[in-house]
Amino acid sequence: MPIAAVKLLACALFGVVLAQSWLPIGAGFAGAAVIVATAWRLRVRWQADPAAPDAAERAALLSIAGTLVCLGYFLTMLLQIGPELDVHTRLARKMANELWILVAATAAVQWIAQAPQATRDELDASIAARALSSACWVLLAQQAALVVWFGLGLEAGDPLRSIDMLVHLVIGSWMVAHVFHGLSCMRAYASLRHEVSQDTGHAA
Amino acid sequence: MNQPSPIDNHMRRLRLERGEMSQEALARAVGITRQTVIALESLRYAPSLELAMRIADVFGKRVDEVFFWRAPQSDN
Repeated sequence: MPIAAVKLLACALFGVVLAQSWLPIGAGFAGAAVIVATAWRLRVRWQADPAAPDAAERAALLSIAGTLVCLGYFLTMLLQIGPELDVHTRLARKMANELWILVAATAAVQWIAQAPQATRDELDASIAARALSSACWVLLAQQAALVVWFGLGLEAGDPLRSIDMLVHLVIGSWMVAHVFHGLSCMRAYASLRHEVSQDTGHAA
Repeated sequence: MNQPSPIDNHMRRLRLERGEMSQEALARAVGITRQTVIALESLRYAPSLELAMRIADVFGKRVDEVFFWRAPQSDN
């Protein structure tokens, strides 16, 4: 699990790196190329491994990794743009375009690295339902924090108190909730794998 | 999923009786993932009635010949 945490942290850091202005190429296409190449490598590795994760676990893993890249990029760009966020500036438009490319790449890897038998059953549904429940609570907690912060924590003339900033923070909260959904799924699958390996003396 | 399910089963034995049927083969026959077969056999997951019936059908048995209630062990 610590190795998985490091890998997921690396995904978020990769998103942060993509947001740096010194990059000679567009962040969207550079990030998409790395995401797709990594998914292809995973596909090759999983095809050769009989104990590779099943469809739902793969989807959760790829989704969480891609979303963390997007989230790292998104939050870093928000910080760079600053409190007086204006969606009509060139930098904000660039962020939106690059982010859409990263989101498209995250969606594409689901197809690239999907399991040969894309079976999802009631155990997957049960895990996904529990993960959705925890993600909803995370989303609610974030929205409550936003309401309190915007309503009580900011002065009337504060540049942070703008519709544009609120909209982007809400988008960020969706991403965070999505990451929690993936984390919850991964935790459940890891728990199953661990318990089975303890029972049988070998990995599932 | 930390507590073993009180619904035990003879799935492993029935698989072996059917010519060493693999978990993968059973999963395909039932239309579930191998992970779920593993979870069921190690009592980490209690199946729905429909899934229990589908599994019993693959083995050509009644549900109660495959699955049975096993009272949870008390700590006292």
